[in-house]
Amino acid sequence: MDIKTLIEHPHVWQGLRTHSTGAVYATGFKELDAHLPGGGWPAAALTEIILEDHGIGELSLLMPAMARLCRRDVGKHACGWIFWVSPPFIPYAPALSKHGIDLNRVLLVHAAATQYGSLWAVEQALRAGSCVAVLAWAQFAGQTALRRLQLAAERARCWTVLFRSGTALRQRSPAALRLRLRKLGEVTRVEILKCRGGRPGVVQIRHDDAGNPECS
Amino acid sequence: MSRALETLALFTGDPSQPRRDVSFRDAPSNHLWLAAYFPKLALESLAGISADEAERGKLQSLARHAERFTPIVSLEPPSALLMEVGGSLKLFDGIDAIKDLLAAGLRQRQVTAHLCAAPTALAALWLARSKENDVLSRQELAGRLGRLPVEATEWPRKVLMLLESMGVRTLGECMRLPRDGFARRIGREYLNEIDKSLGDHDPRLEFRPPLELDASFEFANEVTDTAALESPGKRLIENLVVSLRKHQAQTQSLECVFRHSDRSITIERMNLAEPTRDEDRFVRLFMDRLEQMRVHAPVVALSIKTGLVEPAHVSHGALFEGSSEHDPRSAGSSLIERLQARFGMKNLYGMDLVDEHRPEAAWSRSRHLRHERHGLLAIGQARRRPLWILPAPRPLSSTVDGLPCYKSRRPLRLECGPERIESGWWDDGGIERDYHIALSDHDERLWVFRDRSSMNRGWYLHGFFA
Repeated sequence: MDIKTLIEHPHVWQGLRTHSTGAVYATGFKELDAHLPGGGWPAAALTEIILEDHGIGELSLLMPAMARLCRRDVGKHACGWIFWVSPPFIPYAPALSKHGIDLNRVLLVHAAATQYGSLWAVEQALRAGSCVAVLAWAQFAGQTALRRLQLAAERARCWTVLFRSGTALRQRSPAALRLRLRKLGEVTRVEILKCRGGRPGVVQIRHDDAGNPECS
Repeated sequence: MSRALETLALFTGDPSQPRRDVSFRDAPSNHLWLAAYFPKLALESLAGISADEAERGKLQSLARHAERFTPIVSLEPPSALLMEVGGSLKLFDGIDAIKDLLAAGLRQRQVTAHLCAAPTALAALWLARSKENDVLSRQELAGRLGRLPVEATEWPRKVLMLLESMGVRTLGECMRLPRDGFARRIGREYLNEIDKSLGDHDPRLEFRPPLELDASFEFANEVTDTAALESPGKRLIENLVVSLRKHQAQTQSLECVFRHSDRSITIERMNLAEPTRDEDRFVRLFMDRLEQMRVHAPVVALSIKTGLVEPAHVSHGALFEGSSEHDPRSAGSSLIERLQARFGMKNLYGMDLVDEHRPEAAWSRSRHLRHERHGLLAIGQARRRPLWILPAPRPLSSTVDGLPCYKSRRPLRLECGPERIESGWWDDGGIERDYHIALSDHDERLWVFRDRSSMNRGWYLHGFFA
């Protein structure tokens, strides 16, 4: 282990550095990048996204970064899965592919059979270190479970996104980034509730293709 | 040679003597082959063999029985065995004694068999098929074979018909055909077979019984807690891995058999993504399985056996063998194994595009979960498609005006459409739908359609523009 990896180790805290942000993946939305420390999704940490409804731009928000991950072809990550754990519906392959997602990398598990199945699957995936991104939907996640996931995400250096419903707002979160999504007319309102190394705030995002749906 | 001359040649020559130009090179003169022909094997169920032996093939299980007379046993599927007994004659006191013992064993298994010995393997086989008596001396061989009908060879039907059309009915007549003409008109491989039956070198694939390893453990007292099964299980796996290493082999599945105090058994089968002998991987799978198991009765014994074992291709590892975890590929497949073991095959999948107009058929679940998948279908998609699709369209209520509602009484605002999709009338999944993109009260963007094929032309929700 050389000094560089040591410095970048998530458990090493450096007093002098004001933003110990680590690697980020640009979100593809200028307004959001400007608000997030480092200018993108925390690449090696847990992000929590809270939403009540479906179809309010929750996936479109992640698509640009995910598509860029697929195009990137670097050493270890050349073969990383984009792992979907217990999504509420089925991500539609033609749309994913239109967004630039490499379907060869998509791996899905429906782990809803047991209450903690999803969290177990996420933890296993992070431990295996064979995923570049993990998107998980989990209703029941206690404080300890979240903390475990955050640590596992840091250790695996894997972009981990956990989608939860509004009830999760009552819970404190160890996640590096916590967002709440709402739809207001044509825009998606992204409320940054917690952001390690940054400040809370509100960003409004217009999805290019959601704003003016071409009907042809 | 012209065709007429060739045909003429069929009937010339002394029928009792084989033609000289059929080669008669010497095979080891002390060889004696015993053929066992089972004419009704496919219809018979074998007695006295275990169920999983039967699964592996009746012929294999019979070969295992034959192995007690000689180490050289060769399978002749679908219904015969060949064994070289020349070396065993002295031990068993003659070919008749061997035949008697073998026949007795076969009778126990309730299988009909014809046994026949001859100096070459093919000759023994052909004689056995024709229910002939033994041929023990080489001098007799050609003459006795010559009397057999050509059907004894079980050559393809086409070849037999061709021979019949030439008026050839016995092997002797075959042998008297000119060699080059026979090779050209019937086929060189059949000429070679005749040579082999007469003593040409005839290498045969030896029967190797499939290797399976198992290890078992009996508990001193009854075990009710699955946690107590962990360490015996680990030890058994450790033993198995040691044996696998010894055989330079690997396996793709493990079977754990739990014997309960009430004499029932629980069998847990664990499949791996690829053959391996990685102890950690086996142990992890075993632990996961144990965690989920409900033991309905106390366990008195545990045995673990490997599935079919195959030779391992050991890759050039690092000089200092590290854990497999560091290899992202093997880590990836071990992840998939664990997920499959816990959630089942049907709940874990990848995705492929399908060139199909029907929205629900435009993708497929892919079970081929390896990273090295290539050749993705590129399909031009001009139309907007939602990122979420429902596993099956969900019926929506509608207002009196015939507009769809979702989660409230107010109708959805239809943003654009209709996009008409009519397809699949040729199979049973025909659809006639008008798709719209709609906005709900909560500003959710939905993909809805009106079913034009049904009487009430109902509305359905099919996806979300997420």
